[in-house]
Amino acid sequence: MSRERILRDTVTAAGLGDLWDRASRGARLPRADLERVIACANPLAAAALADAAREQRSGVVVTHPWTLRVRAPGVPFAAEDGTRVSHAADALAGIPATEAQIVGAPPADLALGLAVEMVRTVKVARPDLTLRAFSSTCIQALADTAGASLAAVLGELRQAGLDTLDWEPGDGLDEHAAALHRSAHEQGFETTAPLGYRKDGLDGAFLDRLDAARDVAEDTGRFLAALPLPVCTEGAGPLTGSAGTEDALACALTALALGHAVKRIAVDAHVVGHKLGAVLLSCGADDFVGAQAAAAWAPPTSDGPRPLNPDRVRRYVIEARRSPALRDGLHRACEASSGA
Amino acid sequence: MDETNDTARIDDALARAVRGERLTPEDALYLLEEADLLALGAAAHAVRMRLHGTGADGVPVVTYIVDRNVNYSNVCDSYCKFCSFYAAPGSRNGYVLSRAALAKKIEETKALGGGQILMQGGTHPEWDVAWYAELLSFCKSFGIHVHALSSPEIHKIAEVSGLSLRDTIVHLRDAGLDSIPGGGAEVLTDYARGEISPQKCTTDEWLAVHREAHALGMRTTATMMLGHRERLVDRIEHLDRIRDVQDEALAAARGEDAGFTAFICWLFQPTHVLKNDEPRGGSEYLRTLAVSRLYLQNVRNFQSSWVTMGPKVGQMALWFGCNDMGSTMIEENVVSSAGVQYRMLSSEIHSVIRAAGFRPQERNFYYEPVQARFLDSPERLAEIAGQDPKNLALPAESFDQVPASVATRR
Repeated sequence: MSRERILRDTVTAAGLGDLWDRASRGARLPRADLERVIACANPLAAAALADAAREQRSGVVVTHPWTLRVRAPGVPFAAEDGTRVSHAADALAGIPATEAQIVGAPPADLALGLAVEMVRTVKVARPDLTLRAFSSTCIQALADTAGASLAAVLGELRQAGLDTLDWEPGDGLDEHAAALHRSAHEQGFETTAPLGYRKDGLDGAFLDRLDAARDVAEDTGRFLAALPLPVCTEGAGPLTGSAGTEDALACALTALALGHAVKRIAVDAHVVGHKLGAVLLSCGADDFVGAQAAAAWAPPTSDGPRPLNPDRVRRYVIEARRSPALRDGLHRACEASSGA
Repeated sequence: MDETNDTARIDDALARAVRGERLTPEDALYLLEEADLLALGAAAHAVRMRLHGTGADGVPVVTYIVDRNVNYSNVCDSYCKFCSFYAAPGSRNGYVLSRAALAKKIEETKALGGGQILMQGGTHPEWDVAWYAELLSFCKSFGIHVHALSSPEIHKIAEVSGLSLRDTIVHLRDAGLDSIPGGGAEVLTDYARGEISPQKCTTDEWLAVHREAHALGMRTTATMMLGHRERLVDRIEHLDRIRDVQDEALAAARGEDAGFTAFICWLFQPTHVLKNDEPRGGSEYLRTLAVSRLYLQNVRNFQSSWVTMGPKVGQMALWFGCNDMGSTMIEENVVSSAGVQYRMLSSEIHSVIRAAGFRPQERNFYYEPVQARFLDSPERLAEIAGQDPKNLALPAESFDQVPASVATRR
């Protein structure tokens, strides 16, 4: 699709005109160029460059999983707001989905054996679904508690059936996390690169994380997606949470830095918020995480926010003038499965 | 038409709008349907910069107002299908605020640095112009700007009172009504209104209230609630009707600022009988907002609807044509009754505006700058208001209320 002239004009007026052709070709932008994107302080210009790169990478397609959230036995589970739906591990049959995710707050001293058992339990219940679980922080804690190497922990979890790692708001690819993902890739995992940032935090440190992710991505080729993740979630107050414009810039920078080396640039609607998540589809993102599976949707009420169901995600994608496509936890095109 | 011609048509329309030329309804519909979201944002932002420029420091200014939404009553016989707030006449859930509760709210608003209340209720089948004149007179006695009574309410008051619209507005103005909010517009086409609010005043009747007010020299605002049963063509027709009324006001004012001070659009929050409708996302809001900014260049100010969209999308809206962050919403009851609850302190709205790349400036209803009473913490707010922080920004039901039936007899 040819691009509107005003977008080029906006990028040029922001002093970034020389980046347009490279971004449109999906070329890797060096750090110095990303610093210029930050310095221009124009989210529209940054988003226009990232969206041109996105268009070259994935055309009109936006992929999205349909996630069956599973409360693992033995793991503390705090009450969630009305936007979340989860199911007990023994009540997963017959629910259409494309991936499973273990949710809850594993204690820092969670035993590896229990983690392995959780994975096995979910995989036995729903062998038809890929399974996402355990952030890099959790994996590190499991290794520390077990006194085992990261490779050993990751190897056991993979053998038990874990397909890919999870993330948390603010997870960043620091040196340790980069090593952990590299180790996971060596164990055969494909993972999502989490790119955490805080309010007023799109600076050199964020570019360091992009550099680290790019190094791993180019070395292993096993990052499925890159995912910008603000520390504070949508519910955070304006004094502590990132600005919507910062979230747009983070998404754009991620797309411009990593779009050439990963399959997708993802947004997690439960972290940035449903409504902003839809907007980020125009800021370089082409994958939308957030659609939940439910045994039965509670009737909509007028007294609270509603869970994000697949119909709404598809609507958001179409509103962004894109085509939705279901994927599993490993970013493979698929149909929803009920596990029957 | 092939892709190149599509883009050329969009380029042409956007370039004309940025230059300040008028879009046709066909242009606007095409942009709404086909243009890239970011391209619309870039053009809308260019229009906003042409109209408002930057402050002395070279940073564009975003204004906001400290005020409070006061809902004097929830009794309404319009039975709009989208509304979670109303109570039917005679319902046990109906209320009308007592004078004491109203006074407390206004005093609290003033203590928090606010100089205005935005006061709306419902369409009541019995309350006449005298009832409302007494209400307005009471509010005005506190020395604040009274931005009150939407078109449907005023239309109903005229009907109940057996007066012309003009005479009704004159009565209300003389009693203390300073300006009229744009509530109750939803989407100003008979098709859209027939779908969601068939018993409320018609498009022509809604516009007639604003025409009369403008003719009397009063200022009003214009709104659009989108994302329900309306078609895209309805949104454009809505903008076109608003633009026409504003043209008339400006022509009559002969170069003076007149008519609508601002345009505000927001997304419908599905509730009640429309509960099975899925809510729309931020793209849909920003797309419509940007096209509105391009189309309505005779309305000077555009507000970001952070109340319905949240602060994050509210910040993005400042790059899609908005030059105003609206109100701090010391109190808001209608949208929150539909499950969306966002509020900001003055310090938060400052932070939100700055983080988005703009300079905050407090304003009054007329968009004149006022000295901000910058309030930097809930504790400071509470200190000024003379009460515990947990009692701030209370919803209506926390206040002393009088059953609507009692108020009706008064």
